[in-house]
Amino acid sequence: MVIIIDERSSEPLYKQIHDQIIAGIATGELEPGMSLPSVRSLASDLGINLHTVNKAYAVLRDEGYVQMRGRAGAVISEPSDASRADKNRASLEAMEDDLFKLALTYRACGGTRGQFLECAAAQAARAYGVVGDPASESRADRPVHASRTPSGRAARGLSPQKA
Amino acid sequence: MQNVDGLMVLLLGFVLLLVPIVGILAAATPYLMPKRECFAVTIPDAAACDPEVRRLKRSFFAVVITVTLLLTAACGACILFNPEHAFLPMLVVSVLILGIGSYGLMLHFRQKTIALKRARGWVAKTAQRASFVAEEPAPRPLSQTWDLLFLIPITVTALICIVGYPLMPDHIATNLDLAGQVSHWVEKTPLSAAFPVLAVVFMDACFAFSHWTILRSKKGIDAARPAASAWAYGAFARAQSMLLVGLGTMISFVGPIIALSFMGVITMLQALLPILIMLIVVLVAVIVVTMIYGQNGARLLRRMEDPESMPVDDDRYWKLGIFYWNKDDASLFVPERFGVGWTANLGRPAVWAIIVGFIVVTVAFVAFSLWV
Repeated sequence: MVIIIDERSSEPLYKQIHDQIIAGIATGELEPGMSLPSVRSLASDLGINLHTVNKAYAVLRDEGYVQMRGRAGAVISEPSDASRADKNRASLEAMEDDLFKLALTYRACGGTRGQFLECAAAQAARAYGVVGDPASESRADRPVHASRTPSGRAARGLSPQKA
Repeated sequence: MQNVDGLMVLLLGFVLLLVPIVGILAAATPYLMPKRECFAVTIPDAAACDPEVRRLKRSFFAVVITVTLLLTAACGACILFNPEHAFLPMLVVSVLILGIGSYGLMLHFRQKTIALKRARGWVAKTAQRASFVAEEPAPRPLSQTWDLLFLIPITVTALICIVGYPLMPDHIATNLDLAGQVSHWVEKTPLSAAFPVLAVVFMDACFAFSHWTILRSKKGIDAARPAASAWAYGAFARAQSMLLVGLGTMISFVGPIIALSFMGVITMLQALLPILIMLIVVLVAVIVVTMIYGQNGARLLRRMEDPESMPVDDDRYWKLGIFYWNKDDASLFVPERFGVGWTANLGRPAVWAIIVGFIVVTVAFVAFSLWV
């Protein structure tokens, strides 16, 4: 699975790596048991600091997505793992809170409930729908962009915003 | 012509070939690089078709080829008129001129490329870099275990030196003059007799170290086409590692050959022939691999459509074109920017330790061999 970072993006580098690995787990490209490259070799290939990759791996470990297996290094953990399930529950609650805050902000900006649900459906389609179909996109050569700008949404041909 | 042995003429002619070979490789360098690296400046891949870019590369090629022809002629003249004293200095000067001269010329064309880049408005809006996690869809360099092959010539050399020690003359011939006559001897001692073993061990240690740098290096992956460039780079690194191991093992058999010449089983002159053949094999192999793969496997991708974008602009890390300085980069070694191979990340102190260590060991070995 390809990981692409952008040093000019506003998002911190460790978060870009962290988010892309989680996306890989979500789409099934990264299966439990697969090992991640060593901190040194990933940092070297991406041309960044060891600390940055260390941090990304550490956060993934804390969230239960990844385990350290001695010589094999970091390995994707099973989703049914007890520690991971606990952390999943806690992070799900946090995500629901985030969604609530997003809906509130959207409402404050003048959007209607219907518009918000349309937006949410489009983003869900992005996360669950198109990716994972090998015929439609060659994932290896299409970067996973961490940014979500309006122009990005329009370019992907999703439902346009109704003013 | 003075009193020069026939085989020596062959050797001189072969050594003369070094000049045009170095020259042609230097001239071809702009065409061997990834398209986004034009005279050590990052440009969009698609810009390689820009007529001005093409003109710059052609001019560089023309200048270097012309200088190469002149220097080759000069060296040839030295062989004809004064092979004993003028040829070797002329050869060294020629290679230096070609090496330093082509670097200087590259800097000049680099300035022109920077100006062109500004004029055309080629700017990177992102600073993207790519790598792979989990399954890597690319070939890898040979593992370091293959370097154990070097033990074969080392052992053979050691055996010959040990077994042949009593058979060696009290004064071992070490130098030949152009007439094929021995011109220098050393006294036989266990240390001087062991010299072939030590030389081969040192040489193989250098090969093994180079192999290690390839394994540790940053991979030359292009964020605009990660999988294709990762595959091409992997194939290139694998080929280079195979050259190192294969040619290194072959060259190491210089050890047994010299040991046999110490013993007197073959004369020094006779020892030159297999060494000459080995050198030809090395040159041909290196040239072929260089032409097929280019730098980072770029020539493997040259028929692919080129991205218009410039995913990243690395110019600020490359001082004077070819010296990489980035202390935030975890890599110790990175692919060269103008040339085929790898170079060191001078921004990391560990690399300086390695470089200084390497120089110290080399100087110590040379001093030791002169003393012996």
